[in-house]
Amino acid sequence: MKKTKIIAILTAVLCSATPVMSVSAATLSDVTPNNSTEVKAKIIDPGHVSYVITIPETADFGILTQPEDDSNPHYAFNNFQVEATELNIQSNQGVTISMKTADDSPFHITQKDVAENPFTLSYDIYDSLVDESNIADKTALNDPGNTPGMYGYHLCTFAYGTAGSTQDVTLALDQNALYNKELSEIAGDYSGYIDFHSALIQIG
Amino acid sequence: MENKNENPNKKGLITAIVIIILIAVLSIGGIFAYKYFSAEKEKDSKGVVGKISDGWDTGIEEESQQQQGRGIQIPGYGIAVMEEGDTSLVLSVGNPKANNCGFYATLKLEDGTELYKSELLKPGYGLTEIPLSQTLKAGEYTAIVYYKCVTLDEEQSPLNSAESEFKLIVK
Repeated sequence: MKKTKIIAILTAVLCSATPVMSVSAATLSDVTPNNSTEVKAKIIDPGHVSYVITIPETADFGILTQPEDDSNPHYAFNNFQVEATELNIQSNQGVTISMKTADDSPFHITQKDVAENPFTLSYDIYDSLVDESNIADKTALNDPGNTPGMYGYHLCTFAYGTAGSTQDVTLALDQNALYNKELSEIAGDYSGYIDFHSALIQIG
Repeated sequence: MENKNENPNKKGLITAIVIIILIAVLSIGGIFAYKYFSAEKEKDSKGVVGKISDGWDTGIEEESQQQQGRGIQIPGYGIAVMEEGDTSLVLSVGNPKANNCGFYATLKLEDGTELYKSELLKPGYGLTEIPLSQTLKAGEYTAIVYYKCVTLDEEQSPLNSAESEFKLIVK
């Protein structure tokens, strides 16, 4: 009889230990019970990544050509996109994007490997797809009539729920800047860089 | 005679009980010990101030491998919070693993005050708590993480770069 009682007590002790572990496991589980509706919400902790944008590594105008006259513009174009890759923001927030150069100078590319007085070529930026056929109807973001903000020229704002969307950008360089120049002096590789500025803002 | 026969049985039973209780206690203890040390290990790899570790990600969603080669992914922030006098800031700074370039990350205030500058962050490398070069007084600041992007070869040629502005609250 005693033996039976002791075994019963032991069994009870072991059984009581099991639910302790099960409750712990249930707390950690992210499995949604069947027949229930999952309501999703997420609050971003301070210091965590709220969004991800994708910018181009480089902007390449390719090989530039010296025009035979400068009576009409001779543009070289470069198109690319800026993407809102991930947006983990609230419905009344947006991610605003601006463009500028590192030293706040006009957008330009500069002759590489030339220490003294390298030749510089300026270009314009547009917030849409631009080519020869429509450039006359467009106004550049860096048009003298547009005043840049503290962080450059405003390109776009990605609103909540637009993750994966893109903003077209066109760089247009008028090759008339090469007209009548001594090719031996200006030939070579040119490079320039754009700084993209992003910020989370309240909208609506 | 009966008493002599009962005693060995009783001793055996008691020994069995003790062994079973020991096994139960050790099992439960083992589970708690495992959880404790697992938590410590995670803290070491994610929460050490200034430690750059691989396996960093944005925490939003696993970056798509399809993104590779299409451009440079830049993380952005909304807000960061710290206490007055703190010498570190919880801020997830890193290079998304989908990128094909390196980052030099600089944390600075709007007025140009530099608070932290990283070494080269290869894709997938970053840190979640960064050491600060100086403490800040209580207030609300506009801060920026400037991601200078470079090629991964020896030349480390510059690429287009980006900066993420956010609100830094010092309590």
